[in-house]
Amino acid sequence: MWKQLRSSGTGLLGISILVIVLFCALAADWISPYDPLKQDLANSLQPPFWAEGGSAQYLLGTDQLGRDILSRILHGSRISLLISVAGTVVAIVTGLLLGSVSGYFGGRIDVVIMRLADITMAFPFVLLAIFIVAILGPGILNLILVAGVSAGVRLTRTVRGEILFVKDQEYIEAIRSVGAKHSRIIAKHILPNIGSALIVIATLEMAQLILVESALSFLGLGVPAEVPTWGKMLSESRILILSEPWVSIFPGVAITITVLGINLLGDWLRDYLDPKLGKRTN
Amino acid sequence: MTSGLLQVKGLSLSFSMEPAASKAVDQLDFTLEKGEILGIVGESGCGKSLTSLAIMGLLPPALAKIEGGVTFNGANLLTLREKELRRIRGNEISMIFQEPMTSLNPVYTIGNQLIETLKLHRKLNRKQAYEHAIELLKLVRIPEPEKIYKQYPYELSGGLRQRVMIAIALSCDPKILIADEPTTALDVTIQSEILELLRELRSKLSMSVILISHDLGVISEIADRVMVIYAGTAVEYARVERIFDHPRHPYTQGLLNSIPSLYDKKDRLETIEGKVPGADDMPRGCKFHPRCKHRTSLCETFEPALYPVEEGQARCWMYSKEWTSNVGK
Amino acid sequence: MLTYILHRFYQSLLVIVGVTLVTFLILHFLGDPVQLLLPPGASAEMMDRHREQLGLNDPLPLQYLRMLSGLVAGDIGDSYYYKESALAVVLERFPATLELTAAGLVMALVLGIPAGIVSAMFHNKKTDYGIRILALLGQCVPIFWVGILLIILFAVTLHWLPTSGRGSWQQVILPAFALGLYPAAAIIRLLRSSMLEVLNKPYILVARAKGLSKRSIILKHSLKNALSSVVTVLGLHIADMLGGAIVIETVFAWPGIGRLAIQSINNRDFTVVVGVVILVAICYVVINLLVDIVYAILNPRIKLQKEG
Repeated sequence: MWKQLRSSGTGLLGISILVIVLFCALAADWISPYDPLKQDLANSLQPPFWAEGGSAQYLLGTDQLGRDILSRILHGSRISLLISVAGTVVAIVTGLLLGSVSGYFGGRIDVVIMRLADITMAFPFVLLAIFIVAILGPGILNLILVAGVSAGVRLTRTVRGEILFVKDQEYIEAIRSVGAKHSRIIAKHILPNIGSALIVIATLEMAQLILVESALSFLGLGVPAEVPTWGKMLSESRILILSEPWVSIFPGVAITITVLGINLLGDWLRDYLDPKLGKRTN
Repeated sequence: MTSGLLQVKGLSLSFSMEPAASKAVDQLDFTLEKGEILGIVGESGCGKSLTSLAIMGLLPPALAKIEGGVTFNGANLLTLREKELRRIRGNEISMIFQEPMTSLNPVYTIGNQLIETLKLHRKLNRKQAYEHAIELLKLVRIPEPEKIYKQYPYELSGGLRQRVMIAIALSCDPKILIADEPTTALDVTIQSEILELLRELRSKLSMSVILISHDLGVISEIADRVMVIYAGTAVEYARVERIFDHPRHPYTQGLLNSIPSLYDKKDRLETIEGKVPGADDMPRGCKFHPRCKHRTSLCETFEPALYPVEEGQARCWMYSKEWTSNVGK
Repeated sequence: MLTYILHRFYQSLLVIVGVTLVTFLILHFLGDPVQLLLPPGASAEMMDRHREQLGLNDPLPLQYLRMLSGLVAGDIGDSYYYKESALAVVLERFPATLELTAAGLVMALVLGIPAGIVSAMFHNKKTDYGIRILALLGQCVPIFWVGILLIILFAVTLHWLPTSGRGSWQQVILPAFALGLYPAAAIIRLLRSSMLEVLNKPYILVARAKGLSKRSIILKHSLKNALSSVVTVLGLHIADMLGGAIVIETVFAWPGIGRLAIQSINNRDFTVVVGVVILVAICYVVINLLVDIVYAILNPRIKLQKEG
């Protein structure tokens, strides 16, 4: 597998990006030149070092409170990765559970679960997040939950589809006729087969989650603490658009690159795990 | 050879640029006369479909080398520009393909697809095209043509769809109709209906037909002359009656022997030993020699030329002057 | 065809009812409706009085039915901030969001479909690679950032277009582009692979054998077949765009219900938020219904199969 990854230009790029981002998130405390919360009002709104007026002191410049943008970006990766990874895990668990039950048992339970899925999908994610955050208040756990459930619904559809496909294969009949229990059949024979589809879709959902989390932060509905997140940085930079545009550029680049890495990895995974899958999951 | 309606000379098609690599079609020659049905017989992969695509100018881009000439109306079809080829396709030379189930676009009605060529090549307006289309459907013996005109392909059976394909191919009175395995995907009963239809149309419209098939039985029903192809090379030419009565080339003989017959009670069907060589393991000398009962060292070394046999030609050393004077060696 | 439409209509109705139910349940189980619906700083007695008034001590099913009938009658309570019916406040700003979403959809189709076709026509050549890279990036950039960048480039630096607001056609362009970028990218990728699949089909070879021009084969024979795969995902993208509109409205100060929802959260004007949520969900369901009908028109087999 690693050989194939190395030979694919885009796959390699994707995973390299992710490794770098992960490194930044984990090592942020050590590699950041400054404390992301430290203000230096005397040096506020400095441009990046390659522009006129910038210096090597603050490589990417400073924001309106004199905080180092580079350090804030490095620390910002933490929340984004945390929420998207945790959210994806919740999504996978939800999707597997609901999808398996729905697909395997069929009948009324299937109809009920699918109707619930339809209804959940009728709320655009941002809207649902706004709604729940409005009631429960902002907070990491709430965000993860909302993200997870929303993505989980989409995964439920996929899991159900794959199960329906596998269920009809003859070998399942054979196993059942030998008297295996339902749970055993699902766990041992059906789930491993849908693994590849699940991984691919989960990867792509993770990319979505980063985008949505940053949108929520941008709207002021994200994590309330002082910790910088990329979305929040962009929201704070809005008033500076007219005079100091660079403050708005770097956080956005960070988001884009991270999402790009995940998408490239997801595309490569899809091609690697099953070339035929491209048609089914698309 | 007299120059007929269509003349193919030295047609060679290859997927590889290497001069030593074997060709998909190797120095093929044949002529199609006006009003005749020429049958081209060979197994799958022998290059017969590629030949028909070459005539239509629809060769796949994967082909690396194209040599030879296909002369029609005084022009070489292999060198014509795309614009001129489009004027000929569907108009003077038409083609019907093997799979009627997938040859029609599923999202348009039969009528819509039928009048395309009429509007394109004959510049008819909708009303004229409609009337002409109904006549065409009647010509190919489709019942309730007005109803079929409005239907979608998935509503028709395979046999009906193939008739529609024939109608489309005939719409602009082509001089040549190429039928590539037109009955292979159809039931046996429908098969003979379609073949009968083709024969009838040939006389009614005095059109020439190139009928391609792997099934000698199909060929024998309506062809006038036959060309047998093996591994991209023509190995026998003859009038159809002679092919059946006295096949000369060992491959042709093998083909005939493997047709189950009502009259010859055999216990087992005869097969030709061995299999068709792939592009990578093309034999030296005569391409058929590894599977031939009569092979000699001559066959293993040199490829035979075409030698005259009664009412035709065969590419086999057995019919050369050298052989007959050296029988048994 | 008619039976199919009726069938889908019935389904949609069920989903809409489900939406109201879910909204109601979330409202009542995740939070205290009274606290949410009253202005902050209300005393305990006021809250108890309101509880009586709003009938919150009644059994839940009764409350739900009351909300449902209120909804049908157009009344879900008053906005305390605007001092009028919440639904009225929402509906007043609804057309603006519709306009933005429609413009975004148009932008996505105008950008996506031709690019997808060109990409397929020149597949594996430089043009194709260029388009595909742009499409990939288009799906990776956050919408609000695109909006900000567009403002920086076209409004602040070049002074070609205004920075915000609604009214003139120039003001729609930037927000619509930001909104339509992601779906356009998705359409490009989908259409490209769809077209390539179709171009390999036997009936395309047959069309060429008829002497039809390349243009005719691409635009007539391939496109209609390829588009149906695009239409199936269009519904999903429109839902995403409704969500994206919320964000874009904030960036461009567009006076729609998305901006209203954010402002209302900050104002703790909860009834309005509920109104927005229900309205958007209903919209989504209706849009999906329309999309399914369009798909049935494009693909006659589905249409006639449902007819039986």
